[in-house]
Amino acid sequence: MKPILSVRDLQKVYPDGTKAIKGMSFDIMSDERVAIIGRSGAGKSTLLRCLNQLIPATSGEVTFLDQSVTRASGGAVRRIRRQIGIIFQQFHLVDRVSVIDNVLHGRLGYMNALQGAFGLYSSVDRKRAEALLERVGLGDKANQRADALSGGQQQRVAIARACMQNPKLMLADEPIASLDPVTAITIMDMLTQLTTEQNIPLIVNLHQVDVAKTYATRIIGVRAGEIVYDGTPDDLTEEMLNWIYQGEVTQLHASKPVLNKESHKVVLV
Amino acid sequence: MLQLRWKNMLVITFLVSMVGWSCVASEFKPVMVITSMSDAFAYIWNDFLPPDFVNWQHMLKYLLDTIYMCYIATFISVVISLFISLCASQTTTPVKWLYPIARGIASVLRTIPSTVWVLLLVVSVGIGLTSGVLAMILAGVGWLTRAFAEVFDEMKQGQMEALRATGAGWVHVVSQGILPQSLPAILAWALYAFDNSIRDSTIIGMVGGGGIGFYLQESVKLFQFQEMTAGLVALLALIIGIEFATNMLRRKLL
Ligand SMILES: Nc1ncnc2c1ncn2[C@@H]1O[C@H](COP(=O)(O)OP(=O)(O)OP(=O)(O)O)[C@@H](O)[C@H]1O
Ligand SMILES: [Mg+2]
Repeated sequence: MKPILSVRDLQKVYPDGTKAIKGMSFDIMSDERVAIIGRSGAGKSTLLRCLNQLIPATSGEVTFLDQSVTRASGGAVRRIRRQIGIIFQQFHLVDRVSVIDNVLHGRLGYMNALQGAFGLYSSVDRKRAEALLERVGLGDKANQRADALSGGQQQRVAIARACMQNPKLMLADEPIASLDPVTAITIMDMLTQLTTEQNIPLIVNLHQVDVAKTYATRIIGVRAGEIVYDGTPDDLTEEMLNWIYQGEVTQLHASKPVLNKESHKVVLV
Repeated sequence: MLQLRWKNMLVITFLVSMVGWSCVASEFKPVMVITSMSDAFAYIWNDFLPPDFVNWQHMLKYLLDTIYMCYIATFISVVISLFISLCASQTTTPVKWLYPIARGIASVLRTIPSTVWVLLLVVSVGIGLTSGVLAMILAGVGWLTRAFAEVFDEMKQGQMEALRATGAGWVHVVSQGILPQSLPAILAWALYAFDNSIRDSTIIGMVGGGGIGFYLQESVKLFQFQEMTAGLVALLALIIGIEFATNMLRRKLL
């Protein structure tokens, strides 16, 4: 099976000299649900945004469905982005606009400038948007202004917007960090269900290790711009977590875990 | 707190002596301000009062002209400013190199006051409404562009990023995200611009731009001082009325 997304030796240096990503490589298959974990500032958000060129990568190669993301420009970038849904921590809805319009925004990537400017969505799109809102449990809120909704509801609208794109890959940057634990579970369930139904991979940045272990089929641990763990949730040991989160191994575990590039297993040296 | 240090003393002495020097150099006599004040009041009392509304139809025509002028000028400046200001904000500009150009246009327009624009336009276009409206537009675009650009600067980056992430192009992001999001602020500025242009129109009319200012100027030239006072009263009523109305609308918007 061919990977949906393939990242090779990706590097990102911000204009101010910050090395946010120092050479990452991985492949994502269509049936995978990947959680990316790591300390604040490890480079998780930067990585996700390089995957659809919201941030241009400095070097390396991102390939999405056989097209190069890193080398795309202009219209090609738009055609790639419309096939990648992304959910943000702060929802980022256009909050003075109605809920249904926010969902319809997911079609903008498929429309020309004029159609999009006047919001001339097709009746097929409108029906689909309504169905998606129904699906995320907000069928009765379609005509409300987006800022009238609670955080959890806004995140569900954002999910509907992303699904409206008919994405081939779903990204989520800490989608539950501003939500209460119960709402967080519904959002994670929803993301898991919708991506599984569509048979598309999900890559989600998470702060909560337990949530990552529950939902992900694969965990990528990032530390200071490098992948230090890439494997199953079960293999993620306490030592490994220490290494990912504390930056230093505690005295008890003086040996240093190292990722074996071929087997994706961590060994202590 | 002001302390009587020798440095401060020196500065104060300098400032005061500059006033003295300025008076001497410009042959301005401060005493005259006080003595001529009573003359001025007597003159106003005898020649300008009471206001004479005999020519009210004539006056009303100019007053209405003023409103039309200001409305047209404000509308057009808002539309033009929207386009330029989208380029004049670093967060919304479609291409980076348009940013300094848009900023440059706005600064140049802003440094030239509307009265100077009328003087220039009267020479080329002629005395009348057209010159006045054009002058108002040029001046209006100058400061409205800056005001709008500041509104766009404060746009939440995340919302625009989310739209771009769906594959939306610049036109889409502007029309579906930036404009609906900043509409109240834009309308508030537009109302303020209208209000401002009504006040500005007096002096614009006086230097040949048409409207109520032109009527005032005409009355003075014809020594119809009481008619001029009538014009001033009407203008005052208009300014207060418009300011009241726009303020109310603005409060509703924000
Ligand atoms: N626009 C930027 N310019 C310069 N440096 C940046 C910029 N954005 C992020 N960085 C830096 O890049 C590094 C990685 O940041 P990033 O936001 O990707 O981390 P993160 O893992 O998402 O953190 P968090 O968990 O806090 O969201 C940090 O050191 C950060 O300070
Ligand atoms: Mg982040």
